[in-house]
Amino acid sequence: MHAESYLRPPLIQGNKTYLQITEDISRSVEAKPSRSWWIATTISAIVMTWGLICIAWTVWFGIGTWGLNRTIGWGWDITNFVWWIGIGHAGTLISAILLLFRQKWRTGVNRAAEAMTIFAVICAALFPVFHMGRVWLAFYNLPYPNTRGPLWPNFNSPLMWDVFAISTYFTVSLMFWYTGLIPDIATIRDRAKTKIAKWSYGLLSFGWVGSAKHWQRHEMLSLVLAGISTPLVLSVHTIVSFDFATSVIPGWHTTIFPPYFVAGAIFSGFAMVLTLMLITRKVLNLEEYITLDHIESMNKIIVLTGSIVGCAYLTELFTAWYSQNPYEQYAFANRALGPYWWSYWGMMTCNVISPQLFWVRKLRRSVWFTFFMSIVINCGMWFERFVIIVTSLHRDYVPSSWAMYSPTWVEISIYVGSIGLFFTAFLIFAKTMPVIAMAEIRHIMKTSGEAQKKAALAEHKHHGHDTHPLPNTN
Amino acid sequence: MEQKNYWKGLEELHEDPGFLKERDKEFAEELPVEEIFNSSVVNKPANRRDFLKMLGFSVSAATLAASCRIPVKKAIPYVIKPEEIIPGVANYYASTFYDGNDYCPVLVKTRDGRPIKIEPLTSKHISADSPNRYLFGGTSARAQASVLSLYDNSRPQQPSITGKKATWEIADTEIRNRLIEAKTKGGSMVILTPTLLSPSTKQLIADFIMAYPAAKHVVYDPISYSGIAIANERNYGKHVVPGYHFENAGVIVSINADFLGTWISPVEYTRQYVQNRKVSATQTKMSRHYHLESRLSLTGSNADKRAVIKPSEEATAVVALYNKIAGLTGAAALTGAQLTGKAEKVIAQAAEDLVASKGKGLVVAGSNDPNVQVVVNAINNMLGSYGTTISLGRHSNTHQSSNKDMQLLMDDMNKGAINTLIVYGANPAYDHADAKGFSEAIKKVETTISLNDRSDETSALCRYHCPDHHYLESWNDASPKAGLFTMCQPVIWPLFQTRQAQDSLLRWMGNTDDYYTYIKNYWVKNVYPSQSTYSDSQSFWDMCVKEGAFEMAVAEVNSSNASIDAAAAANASMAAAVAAKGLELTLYEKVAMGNGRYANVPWLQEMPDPISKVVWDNYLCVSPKFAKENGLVMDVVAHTTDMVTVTAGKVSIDVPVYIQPGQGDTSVALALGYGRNKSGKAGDGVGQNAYPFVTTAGDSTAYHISGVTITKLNKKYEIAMTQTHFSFEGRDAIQETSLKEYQKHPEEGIAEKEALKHMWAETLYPEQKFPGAKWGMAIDLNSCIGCGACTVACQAENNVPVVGKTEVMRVHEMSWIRIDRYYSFQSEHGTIDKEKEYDNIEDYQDIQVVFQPMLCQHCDNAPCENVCPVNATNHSSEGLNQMAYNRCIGTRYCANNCPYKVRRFNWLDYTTADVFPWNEPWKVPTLGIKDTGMTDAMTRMVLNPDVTVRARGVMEKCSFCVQRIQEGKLHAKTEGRPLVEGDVKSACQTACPADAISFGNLNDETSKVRKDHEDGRAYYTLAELNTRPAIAYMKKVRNTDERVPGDNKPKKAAVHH
Repeated sequence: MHAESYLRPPLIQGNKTYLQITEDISRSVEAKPSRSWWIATTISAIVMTWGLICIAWTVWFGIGTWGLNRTIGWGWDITNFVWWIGIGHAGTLISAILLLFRQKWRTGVNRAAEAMTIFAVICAALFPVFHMGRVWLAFYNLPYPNTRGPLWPNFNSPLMWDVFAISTYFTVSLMFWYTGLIPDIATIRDRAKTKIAKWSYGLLSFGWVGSAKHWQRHEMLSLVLAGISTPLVLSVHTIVSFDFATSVIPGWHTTIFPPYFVAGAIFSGFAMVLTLMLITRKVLNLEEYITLDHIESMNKIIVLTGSIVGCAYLTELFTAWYSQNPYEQYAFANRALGPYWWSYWGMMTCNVISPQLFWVRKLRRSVWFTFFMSIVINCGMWFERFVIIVTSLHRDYVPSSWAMYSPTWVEISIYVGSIGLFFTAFLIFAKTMPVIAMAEIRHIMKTSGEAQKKAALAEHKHHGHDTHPLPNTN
Repeated sequence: MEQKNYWKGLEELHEDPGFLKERDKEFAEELPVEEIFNSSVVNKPANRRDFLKMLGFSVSAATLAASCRIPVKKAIPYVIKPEEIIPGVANYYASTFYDGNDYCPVLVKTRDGRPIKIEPLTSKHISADSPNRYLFGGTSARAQASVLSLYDNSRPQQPSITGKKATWEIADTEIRNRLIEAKTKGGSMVILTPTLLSPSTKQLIADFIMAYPAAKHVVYDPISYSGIAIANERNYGKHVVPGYHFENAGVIVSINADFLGTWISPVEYTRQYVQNRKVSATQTKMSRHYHLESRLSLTGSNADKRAVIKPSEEATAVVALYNKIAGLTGAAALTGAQLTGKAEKVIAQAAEDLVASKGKGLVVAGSNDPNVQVVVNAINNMLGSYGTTISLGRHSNTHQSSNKDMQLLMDDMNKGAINTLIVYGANPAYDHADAKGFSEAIKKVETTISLNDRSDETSALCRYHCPDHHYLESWNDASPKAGLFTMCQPVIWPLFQTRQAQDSLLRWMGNTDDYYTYIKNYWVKNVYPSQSTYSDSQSFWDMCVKEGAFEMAVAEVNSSNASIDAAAAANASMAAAVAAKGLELTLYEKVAMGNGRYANVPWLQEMPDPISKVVWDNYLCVSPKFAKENGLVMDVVAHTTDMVTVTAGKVSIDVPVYIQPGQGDTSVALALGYGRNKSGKAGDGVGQNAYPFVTTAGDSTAYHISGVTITKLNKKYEIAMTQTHFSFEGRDAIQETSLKEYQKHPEEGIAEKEALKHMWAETLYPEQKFPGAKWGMAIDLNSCIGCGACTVACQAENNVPVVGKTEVMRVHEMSWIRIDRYYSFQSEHGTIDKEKEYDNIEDYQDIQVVFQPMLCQHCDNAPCENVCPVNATNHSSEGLNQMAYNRCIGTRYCANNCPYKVRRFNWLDYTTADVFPWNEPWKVPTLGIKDTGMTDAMTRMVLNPDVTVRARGVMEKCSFCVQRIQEGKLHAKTEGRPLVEGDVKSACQTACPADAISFGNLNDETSKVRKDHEDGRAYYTLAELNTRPAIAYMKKVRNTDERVPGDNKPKKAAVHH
């Protein structure tokens, strides 16, 4: 156990005991679903179903039901794909990198963030799969032995790399998430009263009894998975950015893309975590576990990554000017001043200008402002992907082929449907699984609980040191 | 007949008892079945492993058996195979495409008895220095598309009487009775045809008139060129359209004559015209082309100097040109109004150039006013053009219609003076200026017979419709020019119960001969004696059918005895010019659609207009200035435009507006040939009929009208175009130079290319070697006139689907080769070729146009190839960027990464190749796509069996006609020789009337394409991307004194190393 300064504000508020923690967190799982949960889940499920119908429509009639065309081969589909993948990144960052950096505050949000990663990757995967003209042949992407030569996929293609990057990412994230869940599921199992709950949570807990050997293996596996996940945080979006960076299209062909994309991904991911957590902590009464300090920490990351993203935007403009490459220059002038100017300026406002407000401490600690900003940032990051994909494609090298693109109702519905899918999955998760990692919270209670902090402070005073007020927690 | 017995051995013959005993057994020895089933193997209980093995085997065997369906093949072999047909190998037959307006000698490619492609004809009977040679070797978009009109379900499939299906017997009996009755009554008969080129048919009609002496032959063409013929009759005593020879012209002046697009014989003129446009280091001279016109035509867009006039100023311009030349040569001037502005300057310069190159000038005018044409004759006579650039001896036989005769016929019909009207190939109920009047008049004719091959507007009004064959099902001949004969032969058994029109006439005359015999007799009697090569008439006939053409010597007409009263003609023509008031309307033919006969050919409807790039419509062309002044808006992005009512005299129609730079500010233009309502599934209701605006007065028909009013309607119209950006943004993809600059450094490009190749070598990747053939192409931007014949040829050759107007509007067109058209403008600040500088344009009429055929560049370092996740697009060892359609999963990444944007995705099930029919594009509830009939079983017969029909969700693009490459290689192989130049020709290359495309093996140092690649004018588009294209473009050279955009570009320095 690490010693922690009494100066650090407590991460768990209200003088909690282990039992209280368990009860606070498992309450939502054990209680009957509330009316609001039913309403929210029903709406999400309807939206999801509509999205799935539109996917079926697309597969049945063809990609021609979308607004894509000869010039613009990717539009909302890949925009949404990159957006969702980016959102997923926060989960991995929180579970892996913050773990390695010993950021204990991550325990309050990591479970939900990891769940968000899984669902976001599922949503993301919908798009590259169903944007294929012949989705029934999607398995051609996989390097399996075959009788056609054998004919392998093209390992030079960034789309091929995507297949590996995303599937690895999904697998590792899923394992990490589930490994963390096992002790908590066992807790729920042990507290379960109905036969079905006992049986099902029992099955899901993989026979966890909390023995020392179990804990040792659990810790070991978590560490190994954290080790594997860490490079993934950087690699996945780097590879996604290669889809664009390795091409020849002005506006895509940029070496700055990997760091720019990774920063953007974390930026948008944290925004999405905030959106979800701010609702969850309110609805499930978990304010004592997801405190304003958590929110502030995340807002600090947002201001950092937002600034990186802003720098990247300006660097792109500089490079375009400095390169004296007419195509590059035109592409960027066209982004800002061309027919899609609104998306560029939307992106600039949402991603570069507005996060700078988080330099103000008061705003960083304002729940409502943070919630508003989290939505703004997610819009901004969606604009960013739209700007990169559509405005680069719509006017590239040969002016005869310049064209415009706008989505059809089918594309819009699939996007909205993916949000429906995400929330349906998240709501079911929030109802059936502890949204906060109980075991990990218990783990840090001794160092970061409010009672313990107070005791440490008292002991400190007792030894006759200067008095320091407890840092303000509100 | 007694049954014969066959026996296998003596035992069988003798019915040996031992043999009889064994005879019915299947196996000579008993099979040990009992042994096996009684053995321990069977009785042994199966263990778990065996069970699993058996289970595994049976499941997988069942799966395999169930999934490997063997398709049922229904191949019906020939009972007696025709000697010339080898399944899978194409046969080519010489024939002639002529429809009353367009003429083209063609070679028809047939596969297994189906004509599938039109190729240009080259005939051994036409000598290399024949003045007729330019009629051969090129095609037009319409000639290319004519094969599709064969497989048109809307063609009449049997004769009909008053619209009801009938048999030939009944129709023949009734008609013959009526004709005989009319003959006895003395009722007058008229055979109404467009200009006939067939000498045999003309003879046959003469015979018909002999049989029915009250009959008369009236010639009516929807597009009349009678002005020229009348002028020649007045001046030279010959009522003909002369033969023009642009190949001999160093200076060409055209006043509203769109001779490269639609005027008289555009394919021939294109071939002639480009002879003096192909500049190289050894041939640095080039013809200079002045053009005055009221709209932006295909010809005007290729001119070196162009100025805008009003349609009514044709006479003024011609007289002004006469006066300038007269001033320079000391002849007397005519009285006429003055031109002003740029037109005046261009005329003055043209006059100087014409006088400086006497005998090598050619002046043509599009006016149909005989008086204007008389002044043109006077100019050409002054310049000594007769005998060099104009031939009255080898005159054209096309366009001989007489407006007077037609008017007389209509009057007679109205009076009820016509008893019988036989229409053959004409459709005045649609394309006559007074179509309504004709439709009324025809009701007063007792017997009306249509021999048209289509159920068109006129046939619908006739009592009897005795449909003619399609030309590909017919025997015929043609004499497009004096002394030149070409043959038309059937290449397929008639698809429907139609009958050749000439056969019908013969039948009705009581002649039992068939038309084949008739033509043959005609040729043997009239053509055969004029030659000495063939000693017997049968071999002469056979060779003419094989070679498709025959020419004989023609005496040139002495033009020195001309009687030209230019002054009187000038006065008369100026009177008309002065009378013109207000806004003027030009009526023109579109390069694809022509006079509207082919409205039901989706290939032509979907071929973008070379200038406007609009498909599936006609529209009112207005200048940007006019649009601004009248508040007319066209939104190219939203594909919407304003609707207006055009009114002239009593005629008024609603049409959409197209804002066309280069269009005259004081006139508007509208295309003829649209607004059909009885053309068929695809053509009906497309566009608006502008023929009612045509004005006829006495002997002349005018295709422009003054006093037009335009009223803006509060309505928007959806207009589909394939290109929505006008300027090339000053980018290097387009390179042009002025002749002067070019002549200074014709070899400059060579050093640039060397530098480039040095840059290309800077790569980490090993260079791919092409040890055998390396296919490449070169496209001469100076020869390419932008006519679009290649695009239709490509569509026919490669089964490129038609998507319809709605899908074109959604930017889903499928063309593998397109012609990019860019504008630049002259202003005081120099040339404007970037859109952001458009505000500086002083006059949108000062336009320069450049065409660039764009197709897959088959890059050796192709951006599309490395991004495909499944290797569906890859590079062949012969440098082809190839598509494995069945590997493609449709990510569209390749299309995104293609800098040339030539890849085409099958967005919907355009070809109906999907296994089920319920998702065809026109069945998508929300898209409103119209079925153009391109996928019905009949029309699909036009598909090229050598080319895969692509399925939904698959990417496609130009393959460099890989099937032709394969065919050429196999051909060389079977002949046991290496591949040589000419073995492989791409479809676009053969179709091109301008020979702008060369194609072949770049490894062959002697090949034309290799030489073109090494030429000083050759450059690679977007070469700086290191895509290493296999297509070189040859810089456009403008024969102007001013600098052109390319001249101002900084020259790339050669890299020395």
